[in-house]
Parts: sequence; C-alpha cells; structure tokens
Amino acid sequence: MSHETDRRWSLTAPALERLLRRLDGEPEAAAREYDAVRHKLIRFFERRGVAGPEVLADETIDRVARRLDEGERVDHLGAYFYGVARLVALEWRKRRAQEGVAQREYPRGGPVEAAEDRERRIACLERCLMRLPEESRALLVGYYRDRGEARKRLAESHGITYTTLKTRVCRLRMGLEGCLRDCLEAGEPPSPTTGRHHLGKRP
Amino acid sequence: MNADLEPDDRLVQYLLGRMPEKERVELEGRLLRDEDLDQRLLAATDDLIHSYLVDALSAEDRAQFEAFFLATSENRDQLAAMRDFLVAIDRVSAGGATPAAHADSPRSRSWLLAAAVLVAATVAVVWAARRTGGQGPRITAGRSPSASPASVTKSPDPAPVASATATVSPRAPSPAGPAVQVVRLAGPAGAPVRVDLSPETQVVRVEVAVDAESPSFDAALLSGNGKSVWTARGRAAPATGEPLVLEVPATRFSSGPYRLRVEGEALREGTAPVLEYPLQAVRAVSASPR
Repeated sequence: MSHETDRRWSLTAPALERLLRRLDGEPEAAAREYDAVRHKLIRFFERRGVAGPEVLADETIDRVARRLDEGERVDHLGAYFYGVARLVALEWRKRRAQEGVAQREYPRGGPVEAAEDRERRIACLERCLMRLPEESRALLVGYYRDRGEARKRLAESHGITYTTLKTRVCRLRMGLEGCLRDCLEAGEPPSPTTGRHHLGKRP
Repeated sequence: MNADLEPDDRLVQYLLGRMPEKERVELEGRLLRDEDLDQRLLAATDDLIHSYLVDALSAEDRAQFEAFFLATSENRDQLAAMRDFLVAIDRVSAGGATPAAHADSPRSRSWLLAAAVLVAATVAVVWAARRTGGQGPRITAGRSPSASPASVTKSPDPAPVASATATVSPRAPSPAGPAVQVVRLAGPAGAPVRVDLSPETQVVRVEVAVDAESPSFDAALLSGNGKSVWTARGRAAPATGEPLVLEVPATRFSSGPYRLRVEGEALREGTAPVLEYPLQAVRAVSASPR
C-alpha cells in the first residue's frame, strides 16, 4: 500500500549525468555522493515512519534530477533535496490516507463517522502503547505528563541529557506510527487493554 | 520561549517561520546531512505542537503558530496526530498501565477519594435526569477506575432540545497526574453540561461540533457574571467532520456556571454563526489522605 509514487517522468541518462555533475565534478566522487545522498534520504523517510523509504528516496532523487534537467536554478542543493523530500513524504501520507478511505467497507463522511474513525485511531494508539516495553511506555507517559523543569528531572533520572530525552521520546512516538498503520489496516477492533474508550456515541 | 521548547529555540523559530531566509536555507541544507539535527527538529516539532495543545505558548507564539505553522496541511495533520496521541497517552495512563510505584501514595489515595466523589456526583446527575424525565445533557463517564461506564441519554423526543454531549474523562490514580478533561459539545445548546475537575486536571479540552463554512473561529469562556475568563481568537477551522478543539487551562474554572461562546468567521456579508453552551464546572475537593 502507498508505495506507488506519482511518477509520470522517468530518470533519463542525461538527467542523471547532470545531477552527478552537480554533486561533484569528479565522476567517482559524484557516485559516492549520490550514494550518500540516497542513504540520507532513506534515513530521512525512516525517521518519519514512512513505509518503503527506498522507493521514496529514489522518487526524491528523480524529482531533483528532473528539475535540474529542466534547467531550474538550484542554489542550495542540500536544502532543495530536503524540501523535495518533505513534499514526497507529505504526498505519501496523503495517498495513504486516501487509500484508507477507499478501503473502508461502507461510505462515511459525516461528523459521527469522523468521530468513530478518530476513536478507532486512538484505540489503536492505545493498543500500540500497551505493546511497548513498560520502560518505554513509562518514559512517554512521564514526558507528556511533566512540563518544564520536571522533564529535566526526568532526563536526569534516566541518566540522559534533556536533548537526548526529547529525541528518544520523539522516536518512540514516531515508532508507534507503523504499529498504528498496521492496526488500522488490519481493522483491529478498538479493544485495547485499558478497555475504556466509550467516548461519545458508541453502541 | 517556554522551558519545554528549550534548548532548541532556533529550531522553534524555524518552525514558526521567524528564521531569516539565509539562515533557513543553510539549516535546511544541514538537515539532510546531519541526522541528529533532523531528529532534534522532529522532537522540537512535537514539543511545539504539544505546547500549543496545552496552551503553553505565549500569545505571540500562538498567533504565529496558527498563522504560519498551521498553514500547511502537513502540519495540521501532525497537530491532529498529536492530539490523538495525547488522548491515547491519557487513557493508557488512566488505565494504570504505567508502573504503579505510587499506587498507595497519599496522592493516589486522595485521587481515589476524589474519583469516588466524582462517581457519586455522576450518579446523582443520572438519577436527577431520570427523575425529571431526562432534561439534562447526555453524560458518559467511562474513565474512572472504580466505576463502569454510566450513561444517560436524554429524551426520546424527536426534536431534541438539549443534545449537547458531554464526555467526561476523570483520571486514574497514577503518577501520571495531569488530566486532560474532555468535553464534547454537539448540537444545539440546552441544559448545562457538567465539567468535572479533579485536583489533577490541568486542561479542559472542549471539542465543539462546528459548521464547515467558517474559515476560523473565536471562542470565549464567560463566567456566571458574564466576565470573560478565557479567549481564543482566529482558531483555524478543523478538517471536515472534525470538531473544533479548544484547550482551556483548568485554572480558569472555579465551581460554578459558565458559558462557552464560539463565533465563526462570517463569509462575505453573512452573519457570523454563534454557538453558546452553558457549562457547570464542578471542582472535586482535594481530599486529605489522613
């Protein structure tokens, strides 16, 4: 699901050559830089919880190559790659959301259905949280429970810096997205272990 | 800059669109090469959104957040995702899924007592609603560790007059204290919607079903004497089918009557749509463990 990109243009040999020249004037160094950029892009998409990061990394490279081939002036190639990668990630998310809508068993669209969809997402998130190791779950709960100085104390209690705490929590949260995706796609019933989610209208 | 956004305030300035162009381009060039920096940016984004949701941004930052950060659908999606995540965290926390190291602490015992008061109050409301033929709002209380969900659905009348829906989420006795009390308001205003506040409640998240026409909304919380105790201006319209979410600091409530006024931005020459809901805040008294 969602791995298909909107490719209406394929990377051509001249476009690739132009991109490589832009990466480095010396062919071998350019090839190494190409691999490095691709690796960075894959990691970029992985950090954002995107499925199939290699496909999207290639899509990003292709788009940049195309723009260069079309003569677009790009002053800061790194920043340009970053901007295109963000766009590609956004488009992937939108495609995924659209596919999710299309895959539903019956038509929806009103506020009640939206509320039920949201409830399902939250129930899946609950389920995913409960699947985390207890220590990780406690870290997430503690982080979002605390504010300000209390968060710094939380970092100290774990023997890590405040910055490390922030990035660790962020990675944990983003790591839940894959679980959330699987849960929603599997149509798992919203019955997390906490067992309490009768908010609003539910039968 | 609040403490939650330290020490990456430059990244926050970037996210809020305040970074000079030259510096922005340089930063974006580094973000692909420097994984650590990119990871810090993702974390700063989460913290910024969280600060917005718990009303911890300054008025200036909030305005900039709404005008710049929320201008992209990518960021609006992230806001929605964080909102759902926080509800899930709240529930997991309330479900006692975190280590119960303080399960027998004075604080948790006091919470239990407060929860018992809350449950008793809910039962009283249910009873009163039945006695009066169900003139109160629909109330669903389903988060207490000591009470199974109870609900009253008002009025089989085909023309509902008090169809506000309040969903109340008292917190469980866990060290993960800060409650986010959720109140959902839908349909025409009717009888006052009860807002229960435990000692741990920090934020009252009011979710209001709004029309799909207005591009933005202003909201005001008015005390019983009509004095404004909290306002929000120019809140972006939610996605279709999603409620308008207002995060009101719990400190703005004392026990007593309030009115929540939500005014949509009028289109062209039209009249601004206005919703008003009466609320009844009830603060649980902090119980002494002794």
